[in-house]
Amino acid sequence: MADLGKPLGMGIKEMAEMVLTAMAESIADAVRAFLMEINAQPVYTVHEVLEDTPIDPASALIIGGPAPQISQYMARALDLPCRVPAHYGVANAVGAAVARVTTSVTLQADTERGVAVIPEANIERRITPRFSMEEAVDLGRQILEEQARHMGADQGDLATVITEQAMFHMIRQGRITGENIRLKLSVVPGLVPQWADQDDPER
Amino acid sequence: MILGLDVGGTQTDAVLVAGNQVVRTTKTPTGDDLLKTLKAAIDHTLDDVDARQIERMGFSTTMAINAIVQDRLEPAGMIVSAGPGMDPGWFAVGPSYHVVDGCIDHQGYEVEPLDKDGMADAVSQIRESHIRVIGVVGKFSVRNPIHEHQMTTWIGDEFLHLAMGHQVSGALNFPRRITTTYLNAALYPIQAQFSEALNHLLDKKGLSAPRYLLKPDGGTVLLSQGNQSPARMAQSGPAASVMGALALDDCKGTTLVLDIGGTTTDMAVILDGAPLMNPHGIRLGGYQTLIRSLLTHSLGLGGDSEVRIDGRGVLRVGPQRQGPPKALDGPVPTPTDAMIALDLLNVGIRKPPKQRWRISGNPSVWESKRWRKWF
Repeated sequence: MADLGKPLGMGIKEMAEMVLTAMAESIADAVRAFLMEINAQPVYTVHEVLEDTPIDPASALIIGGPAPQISQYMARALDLPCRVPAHYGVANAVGAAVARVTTSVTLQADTERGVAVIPEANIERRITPRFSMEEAVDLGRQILEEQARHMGADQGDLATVITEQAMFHMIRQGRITGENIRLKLSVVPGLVPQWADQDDPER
Repeated sequence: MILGLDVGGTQTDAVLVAGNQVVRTTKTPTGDDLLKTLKAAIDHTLDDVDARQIERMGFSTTMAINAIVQDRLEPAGMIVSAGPGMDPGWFAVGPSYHVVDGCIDHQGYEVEPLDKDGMADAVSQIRESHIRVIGVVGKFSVRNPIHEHQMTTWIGDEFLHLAMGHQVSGALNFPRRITTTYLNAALYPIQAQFSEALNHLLDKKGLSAPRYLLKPDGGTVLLSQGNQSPARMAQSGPAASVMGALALDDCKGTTLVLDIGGTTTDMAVILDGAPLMNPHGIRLGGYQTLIRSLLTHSLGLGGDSEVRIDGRGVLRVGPQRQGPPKALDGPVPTPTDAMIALDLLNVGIRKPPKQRWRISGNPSVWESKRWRKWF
């Protein structure tokens, strides 16, 4: 730090302050670019698509080895309240430990062709011309849960959501020839029950 | 207890979790040999713990992404069919890429049967190139996978692994489907080898609990189920940060998550406990895929980044990393040195003032247990 500061006529502490401020500013610049990119298109969570909902963080959670040391500099650079959780230095290993199984399937049913396809699970089923959205959801959920268990999910460890759902008529020469159902179901990211179900979380 | 392990660029972090308590944390330097690193981290963490107490294990590794960015992929043959429209030749990938006639339309009807002679010709060319893994993709295979099944039947079982395009994702995106299928074929041998070696290592330690690998979407999959589509586990590091954030904090409201490491800073956004998802699919090295992932961004800047004054007298931090911080005998000053200079961090050798003193423990690692809390 002394070598770095001398040519600039700065003391060690002054130089060190400047380095951490510059680092925080660089990270904050990248954060602003990241947020601009996010806000330039519809935003997806596992639950929904958010159009016209600007993503504007109200706070920042800082993890990683230098989190406590850089946190106050980040708060200044981002102009946001920053907090550092317990076990900040190994947060990613905690994530690897307690993340549960996720998976998703897409169901496309075509009553004209008389078939429902779930490509991710290699499933093709013959369906009747009356195949309904309800039946599609039941089939989709059943296959999704089978797939999740196959991947290692425990019973009762399956938070499933429908992320896309659409049904439209297929029309040929002015006549309705069938229904097209499209459905996407997911087991959403979450924490294993051993961690999530405790009353007194270590937070 | 649950054993969790995250292999980072410079450090491998491990934790033992009992209920919702983190009961042990360790850090081990990441070496060139992934298995040796994992073994060292496990030994370091389990130490006196009875292996039978471990009920679950979760791993986030850099195995697949390193193979991709270091160009250590197995040569994979590709056979695709499309029909009218964009020339699939534009999406050619790998050393032996073949387009065969045949067409399924967007609704799933067969418009033109698959060209059996063309297939035989493609397979013999791939065989002659001594290629061991193969991928097959039809443009509308998610609507009707019959051509991919036909290709699979005709190819038979002479290859070590065959990856099918329709199993990648339900989304319609032909170029990304080709790329993802290619990666699933090209990553297969090293993924299978890694799984076998990891299984062997864990078995030898008497760790018989279920073994999970983390995926970039923040979820896990059993190690034993991972080989079929290895690309979906590539690049799990940023997802590990987000899931860790969710585990250690309520993440109410709109929360920015910053994981500041030695070499990189990963960022993500969580909306009331739900992480933002990447709408298309993750980018792995130069490959755009259909693999579901969280929306994250990695910046080449961390505690060990190089600090320098550039030609115009402007202070620059990163993106290069030249080695450990200067106070830990590294070649150049880093933000970590600045933290030491400001008494924020209590490791390493502090040069000025004149006395040189070495403080506590193994200075070559960020050892959280040994840090003094300054905040």
